[in-house]
Amino acid sequence: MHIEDGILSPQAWGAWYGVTTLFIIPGIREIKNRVKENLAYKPFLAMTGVAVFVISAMHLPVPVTGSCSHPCGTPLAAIIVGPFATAVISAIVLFFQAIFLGHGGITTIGANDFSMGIVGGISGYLSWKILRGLRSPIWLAAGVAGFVGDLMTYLTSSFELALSLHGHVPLLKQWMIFFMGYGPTQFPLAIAEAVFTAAVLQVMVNRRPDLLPGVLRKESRKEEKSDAVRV
Amino acid sequence: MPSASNPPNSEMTPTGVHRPGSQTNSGSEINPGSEIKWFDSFTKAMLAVMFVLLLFIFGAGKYMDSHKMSGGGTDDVVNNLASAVSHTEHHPFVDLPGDAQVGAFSVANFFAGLIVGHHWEKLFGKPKRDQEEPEV
Repeated sequence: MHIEDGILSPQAWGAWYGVTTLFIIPGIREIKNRVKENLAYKPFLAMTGVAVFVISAMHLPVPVTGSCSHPCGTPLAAIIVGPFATAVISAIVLFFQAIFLGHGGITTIGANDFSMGIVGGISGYLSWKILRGLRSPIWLAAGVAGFVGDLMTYLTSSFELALSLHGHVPLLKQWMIFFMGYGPTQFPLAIAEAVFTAAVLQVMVNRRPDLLPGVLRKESRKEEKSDAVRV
Repeated sequence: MPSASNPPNSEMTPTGVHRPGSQTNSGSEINPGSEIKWFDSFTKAMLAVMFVLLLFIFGAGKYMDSHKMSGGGTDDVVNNLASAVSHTEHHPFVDLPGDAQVGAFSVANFFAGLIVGHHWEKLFGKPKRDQEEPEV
């Protein structure tokens, strides 16, 4: 999903920058608010930001298709630090990957952030919320979030390319042509991302459930606020 | 405010985060009589996961090599496809030649690991359980 410089027209990448900004502004607000509410939020934000940087640059080989691809890490980040904050950390991650690792581009940060940070994060977060609302176990909800967020990232990335480049070819056809470049390799990696997301979240919850207010229980935030007032 | 899972003498904030300077098992202060294991359970688990992943990568690499598969990244495949459709040249912002790419990834991941470990310890490090209470 790391679209490189030179592929999207200036109108296209400019538009994706604009769309992404619409999510980054509430993301900055979300970070400011949650830092005040939860003392553990800053270290969580730092940790997940760095984890997304590593995970989304970790190319794993898929022998069935003979190519390599990487998971995203943004579904897990969205569950832990929030979906809009994930858009912010993802933009920072993509910037550093572009300038230091030769991964992606600068003009395409908006488009890449939209696919990985915004759609990947929000779709994973919504899957998590829906399944937790249906009283699904943590590992299952987190696993489905990882799987959905991963595939949605690549579906969006191929849609971005198709939207700009389909020309006279029907959009849906061009979209599927681009997605078939990702899909066969990405499907097993989405399963791996599901296992990883489920395992990491389950370990965190087992060790310190009190550090994840809002992730597990709504009332935890209220309790925390009242604790902070007392202190 | 210690919870049921935390010892009463650990220094905790309302959200349960260890305050800077509070003591943890892996903190800088080590009890003179305590024994440090070569491989604690966390290290063993992480090494096991790492070896499984590396074995998988090695096996997959051998398989792809024997079947003459290129093993290139899907990002590159799709970027090339998009370039062919748009008749434009794609290029990364920086192009690292040869082993410089391995170097950049290693440096980035080494420090990323340190940062994740540092914050993981802050959040999930076990509080020191056998800290002696001063006698009154």
